[in-house]
Amino acid sequence: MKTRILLCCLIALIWGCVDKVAIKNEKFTQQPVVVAELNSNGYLRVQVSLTTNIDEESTNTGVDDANIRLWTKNSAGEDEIVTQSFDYDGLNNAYFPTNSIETEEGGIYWVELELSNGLSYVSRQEKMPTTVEVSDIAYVRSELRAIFQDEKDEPNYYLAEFNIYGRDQTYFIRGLKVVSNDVLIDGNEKAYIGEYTTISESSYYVELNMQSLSNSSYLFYRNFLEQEDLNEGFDDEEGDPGWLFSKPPINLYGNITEKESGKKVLGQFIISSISQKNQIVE
Amino acid sequence: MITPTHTNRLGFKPSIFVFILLFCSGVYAQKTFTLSGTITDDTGESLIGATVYTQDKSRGVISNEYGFYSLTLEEGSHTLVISFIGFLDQEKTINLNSDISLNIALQTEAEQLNEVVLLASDQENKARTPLAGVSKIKASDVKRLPSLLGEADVNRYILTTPGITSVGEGTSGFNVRGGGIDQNLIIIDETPLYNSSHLWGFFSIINPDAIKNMELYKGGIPARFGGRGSSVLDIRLKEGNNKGISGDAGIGMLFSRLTLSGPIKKDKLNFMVSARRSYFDVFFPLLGDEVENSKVYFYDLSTKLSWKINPRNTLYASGYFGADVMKLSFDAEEDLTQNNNTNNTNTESADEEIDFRWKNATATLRWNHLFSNKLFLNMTTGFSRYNYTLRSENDAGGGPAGTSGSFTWNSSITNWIVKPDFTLYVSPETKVRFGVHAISHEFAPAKITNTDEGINNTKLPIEKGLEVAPYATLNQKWNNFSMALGVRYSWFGNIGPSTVYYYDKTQPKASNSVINTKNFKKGDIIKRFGGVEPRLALNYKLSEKEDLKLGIDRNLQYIHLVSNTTGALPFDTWKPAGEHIDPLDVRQISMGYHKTGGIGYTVEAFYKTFDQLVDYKDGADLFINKQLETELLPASGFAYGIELGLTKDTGKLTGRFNYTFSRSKRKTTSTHKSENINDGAYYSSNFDRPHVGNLSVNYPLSKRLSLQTFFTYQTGRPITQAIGRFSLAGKEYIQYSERNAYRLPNVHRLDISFILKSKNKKRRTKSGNWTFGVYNVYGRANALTRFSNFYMGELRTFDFSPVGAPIPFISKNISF
Repeated sequence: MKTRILLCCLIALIWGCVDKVAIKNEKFTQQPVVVAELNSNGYLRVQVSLTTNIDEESTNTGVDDANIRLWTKNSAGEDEIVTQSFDYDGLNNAYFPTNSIETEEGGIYWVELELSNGLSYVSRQEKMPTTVEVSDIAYVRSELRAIFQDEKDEPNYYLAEFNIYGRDQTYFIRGLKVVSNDVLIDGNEKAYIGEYTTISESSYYVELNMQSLSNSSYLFYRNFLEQEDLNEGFDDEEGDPGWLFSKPPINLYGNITEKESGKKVLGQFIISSISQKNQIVE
Repeated sequence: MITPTHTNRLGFKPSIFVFILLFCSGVYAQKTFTLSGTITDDTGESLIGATVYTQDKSRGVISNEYGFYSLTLEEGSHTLVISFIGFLDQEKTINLNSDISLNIALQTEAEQLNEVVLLASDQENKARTPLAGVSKIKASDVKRLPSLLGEADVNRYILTTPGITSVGEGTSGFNVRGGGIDQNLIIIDETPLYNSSHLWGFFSIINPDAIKNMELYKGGIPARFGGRGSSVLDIRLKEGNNKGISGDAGIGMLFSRLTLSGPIKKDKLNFMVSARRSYFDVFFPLLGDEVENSKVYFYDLSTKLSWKINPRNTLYASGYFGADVMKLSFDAEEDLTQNNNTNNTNTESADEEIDFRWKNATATLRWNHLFSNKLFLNMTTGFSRYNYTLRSENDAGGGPAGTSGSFTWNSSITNWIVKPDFTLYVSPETKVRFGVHAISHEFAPAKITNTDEGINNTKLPIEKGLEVAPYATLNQKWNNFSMALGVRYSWFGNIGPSTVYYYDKTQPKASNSVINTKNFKKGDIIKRFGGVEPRLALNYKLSEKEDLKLGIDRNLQYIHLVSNTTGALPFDTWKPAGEHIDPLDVRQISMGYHKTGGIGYTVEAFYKTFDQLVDYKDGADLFINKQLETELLPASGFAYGIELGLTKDTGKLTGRFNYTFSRSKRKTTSTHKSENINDGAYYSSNFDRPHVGNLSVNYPLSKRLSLQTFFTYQTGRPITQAIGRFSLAGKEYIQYSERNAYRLPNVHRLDISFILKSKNKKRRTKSGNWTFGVYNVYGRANALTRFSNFYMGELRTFDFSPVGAPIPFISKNISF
């Protein structure tokens, strides 16, 4: 937040200092990272990799021999496999189902994985949220907004991803993401979530992917995007000099655990209902 | 009624207490009379802890917080010695053949006027209490410590005492023996304060010139105090001079201060007013256009009126008001106007203004009444309010994700207090103190008003609680042995109106695991808690100057500060115990050996347990969250340590050294294993610093010039650090260690100051000095936080130090 940043800058200007330091890392333990994404369009992608020591440069540790199953609850309330047939795409380090998948709003889904080392992992059962339709996209006082009607009294969570293209096709901003709960917009007919950005074009084309998220996916994305912001928002010259008023760094744990021990695993089974809106913004 | 569970668990039987009281009060069959009155200094300021002893030192008492004493002796002639540190002893011979009222005014020693350290001498030995873990803090000591920008600071002084740590420089509050900052009860004239710092933690909120007396209880907390788990900082404001106008003033680099006191009606009604205001923002124009229209300042005002109605009744009205203001103005961004086009919304010029302020206010009315010369009442009624406001005009950020436009965010904490406190002076050896402490809490977490139609006006429900605690303490002396046996029974009710969410117990609490809700009406008790809090302090006097002390106490705390940032923030949320959050239960045993005198030393050890702590989940979303319990985890912990202290009060070279070895560990105890931090294993608290050493030395270089130095060395605080990496969709992400698995580098700092007294010493009524020096002499950058990121594919790690350079300072102080 600007307030925090300015205050930190004031303190830093007068007394504080930021020093680049070398850190010793004696406590690294390799962990699996599992990110599975399922959306209401039937898109499913599962990435499985292993972490590497912070001192190592290579991070190409994709796992290509995992057994994966996507489960659901059928109408009788029984567990049912949706698919367990996946192809591994080495280029993207990801598994994709070999057959098409149909999902339904309100349906319950979860994933299971087994690695060749014998360890298996399972996600929490997640409910496919209700799709939200975006009525308008607007740029107001430096903020690009997705405007929609929020459903009252239900806790809702949203992820908006904007891709912005100039009319001459040379200007673009891709993957501008914002995640929000509906605490301040609950039931609002003109609810919006937005992201501050500077757009130097007078007229431009916006592609918007609007996702309704489950609670755990929202929390994961929030922390995930915070880590991305930290990467993008700080260089030697500027940015929050102390992270003084920020939360301590956290691991990107989500809703997946090791089956036997119940230990959390890095990553998340992200479930979302997705809608799209493309619009020219003047 | 004390429940059988509590009685059995704590091994406390109230009948023992009654028996001891009856036994003690029946000891004296001989004809006795009582001498009572008030002990003051020569300006009429009551003296806390002054002693009235018979000449043979066999019997005596200590004045209470209002300077009142009551001494019952056998009929006949007695020579009494009245003494207090820094004052000339006074001898009085009285013929005691009836109850006598005798007010005593002690004369200041000449040395005191010259601000020379006076010794904790014989008088201190007599005044020794059974309590272990109590630090008396003198305003003069606070002023002598070299400090940031030369501004004497209570919080910084407290951090130099054994057993006290903090997260780091510039963070709010302090940690006592492994307790969180919310476990400190900070009271000004009996009324609690919720935010103890100005400027986010750099300065404490009260002017030392306004303080008469401060006591920090780290253990053996008397039964009359409660509501917090780890400590009590009892601050008493000066009553003021009832003989003539006097004052203190100072001009420093950061702020100026003025304290005035005097009689409105001589010996009857007097006032004290003390104010400070920073002028930090005056220099903003020098920092460039970005901040020239911004204002960042703080101020505080302490006031007190004392009205001696008659010998039996005195009324005190005191108040504190302090605020931090941060009004930030931003000009419209240039690149918004570069492509100016009148038909285009994205060219809107948008100046922004953020007005952020937080305020503490307390008001206390106290009535001292003497029912007899043996029964003293202090009736306190108090009000405390802490609130903050964030107002944003135009499109400035400052709110949670998804907000923009003009909005105002208000939040507040309000307390009302009633506390009748009786002291019965049964005999010089026996004193009983009893009363009831009632406090109502009201927490208004957030009220947001907003002009943007896409954002709702939002108000999180106000949470209310009522805490009522009857208490009693028996103080008893037997030759070399003394005891303070106290008991407090606290009851807390979480009170409606409120909507309580009930969760599916087979899953971790989350907003989507709600299975039921229940609406409670106004006045409904949603959940009640209660428990016995025994307090025992024993003292065995090995010699005139040596004591062995033992303290055992249990403290229940019914409100929790919910914060997951490095430093506590003004807008952190407090949460009362309720359906999903239990009260914190802290138990402590401490014991120590104390030797007073020219060279004194102390050794004190403690062991402490914390049950029903509140910790937060990794990445918890604590802002504007009406189901805050979904982000919290139950936790427990322990702390232990040994504190060594050495003081030298004689000779030219004086000073003190202390070293503390302590550990503070926690673990979360959720029944859902997957959400426990570090898989449910113990981890160091944020303020776990095993080794802390502090050395302060004072040396007079000449009659006018003295040198003060302070050096501290501390283990670096625990942190969570980057250990691994992984990539997703071509981007790099960090794998962090378990919570608090690493430590920042060790902290050390040297501060030096000189005090140059003014030449004019003929007029004893006026004195002054210049204080100058350097804070952080060798420019040590002591890291407070560490963070890593990937920038252009390279992993980089940074340490941030709030103070990374030597800071020279100068200030002028006068007393008149």
